[in-house]
Amino acid sequence: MSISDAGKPIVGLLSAFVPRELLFALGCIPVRMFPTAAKPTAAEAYLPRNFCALTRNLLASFLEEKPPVQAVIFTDEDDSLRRLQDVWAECVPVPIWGSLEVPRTDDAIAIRYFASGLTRLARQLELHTNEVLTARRLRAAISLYNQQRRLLLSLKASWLNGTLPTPLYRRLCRLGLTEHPQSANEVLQNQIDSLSASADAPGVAGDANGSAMRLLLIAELAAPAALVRQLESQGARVVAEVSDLDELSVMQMVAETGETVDELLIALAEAYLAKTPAPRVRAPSRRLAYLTQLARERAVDAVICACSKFCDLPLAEYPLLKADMERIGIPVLLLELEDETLSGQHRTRVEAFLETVRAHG
Amino acid sequence: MLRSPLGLRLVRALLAGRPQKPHHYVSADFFLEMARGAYASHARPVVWSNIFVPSELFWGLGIVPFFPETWAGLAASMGLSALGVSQSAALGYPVDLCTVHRSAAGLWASHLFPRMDAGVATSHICDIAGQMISNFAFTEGKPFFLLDVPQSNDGAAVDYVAAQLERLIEHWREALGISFDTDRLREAIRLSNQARALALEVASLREAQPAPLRGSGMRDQLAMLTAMFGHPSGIRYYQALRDYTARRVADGQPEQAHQRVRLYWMHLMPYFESALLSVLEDELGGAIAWEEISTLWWDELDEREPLRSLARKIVSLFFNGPIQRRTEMALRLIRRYHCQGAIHFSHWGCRQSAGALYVLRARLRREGVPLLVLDGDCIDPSNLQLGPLRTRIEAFMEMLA
Amino acid sequence: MYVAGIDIGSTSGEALILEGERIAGWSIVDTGYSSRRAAEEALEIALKRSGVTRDQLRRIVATGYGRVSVEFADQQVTEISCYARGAYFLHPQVQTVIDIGGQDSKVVAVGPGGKPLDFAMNDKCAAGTGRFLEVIARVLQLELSEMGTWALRAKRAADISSTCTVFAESEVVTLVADGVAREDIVAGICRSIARRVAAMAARVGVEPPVMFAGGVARNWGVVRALEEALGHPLMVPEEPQIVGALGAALIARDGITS
Repeated sequence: MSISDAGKPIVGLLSAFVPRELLFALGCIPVRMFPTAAKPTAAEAYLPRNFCALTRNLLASFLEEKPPVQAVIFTDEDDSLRRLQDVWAECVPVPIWGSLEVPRTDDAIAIRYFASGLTRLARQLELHTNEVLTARRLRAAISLYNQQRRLLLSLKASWLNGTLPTPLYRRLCRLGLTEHPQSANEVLQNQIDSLSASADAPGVAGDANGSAMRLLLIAELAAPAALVRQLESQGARVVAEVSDLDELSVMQMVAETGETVDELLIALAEAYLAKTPAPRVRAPSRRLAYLTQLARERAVDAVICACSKFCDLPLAEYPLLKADMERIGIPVLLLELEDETLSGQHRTRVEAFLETVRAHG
Repeated sequence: MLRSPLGLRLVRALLAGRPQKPHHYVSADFFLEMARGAYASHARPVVWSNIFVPSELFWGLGIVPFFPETWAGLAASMGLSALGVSQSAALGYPVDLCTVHRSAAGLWASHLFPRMDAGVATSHICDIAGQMISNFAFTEGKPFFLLDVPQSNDGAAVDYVAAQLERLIEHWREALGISFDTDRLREAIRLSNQARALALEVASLREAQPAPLRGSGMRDQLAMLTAMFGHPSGIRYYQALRDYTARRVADGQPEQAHQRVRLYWMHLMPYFESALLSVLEDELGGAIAWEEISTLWWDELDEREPLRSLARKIVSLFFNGPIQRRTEMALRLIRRYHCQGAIHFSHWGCRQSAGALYVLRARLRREGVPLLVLDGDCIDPSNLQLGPLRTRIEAFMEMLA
Repeated sequence: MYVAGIDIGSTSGEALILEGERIAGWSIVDTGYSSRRAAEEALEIALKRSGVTRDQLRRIVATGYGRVSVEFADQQVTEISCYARGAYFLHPQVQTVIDIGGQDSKVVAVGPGGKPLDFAMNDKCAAGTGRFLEVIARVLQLELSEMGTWALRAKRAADISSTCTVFAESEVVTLVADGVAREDIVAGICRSIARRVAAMAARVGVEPPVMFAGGVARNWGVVRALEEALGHPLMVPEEPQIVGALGAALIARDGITS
């Protein structure tokens, strides 16, 4: 079933912290927004030019391309989203159906606070959708998205063992975030079945002898497809992507055992807050421990940080990340990107980086 | 402290033989004492913090606070920003980050800052303030506590932050060995309230026309607002400032003789020597009747509920939350101080203050208040070009006249 | 009664002699290395063309980047006020004036009587200014004066992604190497300038009628691109480069009558 056929309001999400289960349970189709505008120029009328490039691109997408969403949900997770929400009403005719406060810790106090925020969000959505949130509907939605998580984890295993090419794996991750969950799950299941059917066929990932350089990519929403293409065309292989597209999504299953709406919202709060730490949590020890462990597990040779220009939190993390990775012999490249394209300068930097890594063996 | 180049320069700058106003002696004395406590003494733990953790907490718990942001501003006034900024580039901090924090990082890396026993920061207002302190703490191997502050300022938000303040005190008890003396915290609250009352008197006195104080002389007010409350110096400072201002009003002798237009200044001012404000004030007669950074935003604290009061102080800062809070505060102050226009100093890299200027400008315009935006830098003089800014200020004054 | 307005920009200087409501004469010179010399030269030429002597001038107002160097002027006024005033004189209905000069660009909201209500300026970055066009003209081996004609011939404007003139130059070199037609590249540059300026204009709020002034207004490629970006038709004066000097002269005249 495609999004438009469902006859339900499509609600755009600008953050990985908004529980999609909640929206689906209230009769919405939650869709993660990816920038579609080629350039962020249109946004410069409303946001300063020296402002997070991803945020400007998202705004430009709404101004120029007008994505087919009926409403959006905001979060307060960083300066750029907070200020985008401020200017939104002045320039974008798409209404804001809710704004969620996202704690930066995951202790019991924070979970309770987040859960109360989810309750408030539910009440706001009920008014907009004329639906009522029940435990049954919420449990069903959680179950559906848990199924998606299981499917994606299975596909991830195939990706990591080289039977699923990186671009296809990324497209499937994005599908999960942008399509109706039922149809997305069907596609994911079909892909798994197809992989099982061709289990005896040679690996399609093109690195049969495991000689390709293994890369960890760090980004906010997703590393640009152009970057992944360049890396793969130059004999490197992405083996980990820490972004909302992959590792920063909720990977653990959300508990479905709650009997009441409140219990299920607590379960959602726990799962969403406990996910992989992003720079916003200001806990370098946790974050760096996670990244170095991931780098070791995946036998990473090098790291590329594909940050949005003027996106402060990941940029302010960079010196520590570089020092920590280089301490265990893993070089790091920082790219500050204005949009989804890679300029000639960026391509040259990437190429030079790969050459340098190879030269040092 | 005097072994530290920064400490030595500080002493020299503070004791320089320039004419000082009475309240300046109080603030110099206070910052010297804080510096002594941070650099030279081991009697009390030194906790690095962003400026929005209430100072009453530190003074009430017997902790010496060190605010890297404030000291970056002080270092800029002493001509040390180039060192801070260049060292931060050497550390790998991208050049588009705010120079307040980059300079702080560079000064820390140059060992010009005092020791750190622990770090703390609120998450609100400015994203990277807390990030930088957590970075320093991580590198130094010291404990760090993040006070997660929501955008709301309702009862639930206050409860949430108050609960974290309790945990913070527990954390410091374990990490720093401090003892929590409720009476001492209550005393800090009382001292804060007394200073608050005096600060509000100053605010009332400054409604006078012509403006009794020169806005450029109030550059350091944010440092006072965020460090002095809860300490006896806060009372002495605002008492001295109140008396000084009252005399200026009574004698009809404003600090700035030539005043054509009254203005509301938003956000920071350059901390280094710059002709920017003298162009505005002396050449063009623009009088800053009130500046945003002098605005005392919190209600009187309740010593019976010190932590809840402090939590309320944290969440009620008008920079927190939707831009409407800051905009409505601006309009209230513009009306109160009879300002004909507003100037926003957009410090390069400060996303939180400049991000929603579109909305701020539109709202002020609807109320008939013109807004001038000046793009500059309050720490790095190489990032502030006087020529283009002069043209903008002149054009703005031509509009208002 | 004769008055003069002198507008000294970073690349060109203009002078205009006004008698009442009549423009008696004007001139445009290269600023070169000396704003003062350029001001003297521009004024001399304008006087000659007007048949007026220096002694007959009652008042002189200087504006532009080099205004402080025009020591013989009776008053210095910013180009914001002068552009608003000059545009209003030419078209009293004007609500917004956009000036793209050699090294800066500005947008002014014009109020009653030609008084500026609000403004935005870009003078930190060459992208969005005439300098951008100059740099690219050199790369494409075109005359600056031909750029507009070339742009109007484009079939499909190239996408110039760089926000910086220096990087855009290298991007254009790549496009040339890839065989992209010159007219398409020029149209892409015009569009890039137009978008940048339109974004700046939106901060002030664009109310029609909109006047486009300054040297770059002679480039019809930029005119068309800017109209498209703004969604409004543009009024382009016959001599778009003298609007600032005209405004300065009017302010000089106002200074006498008030």
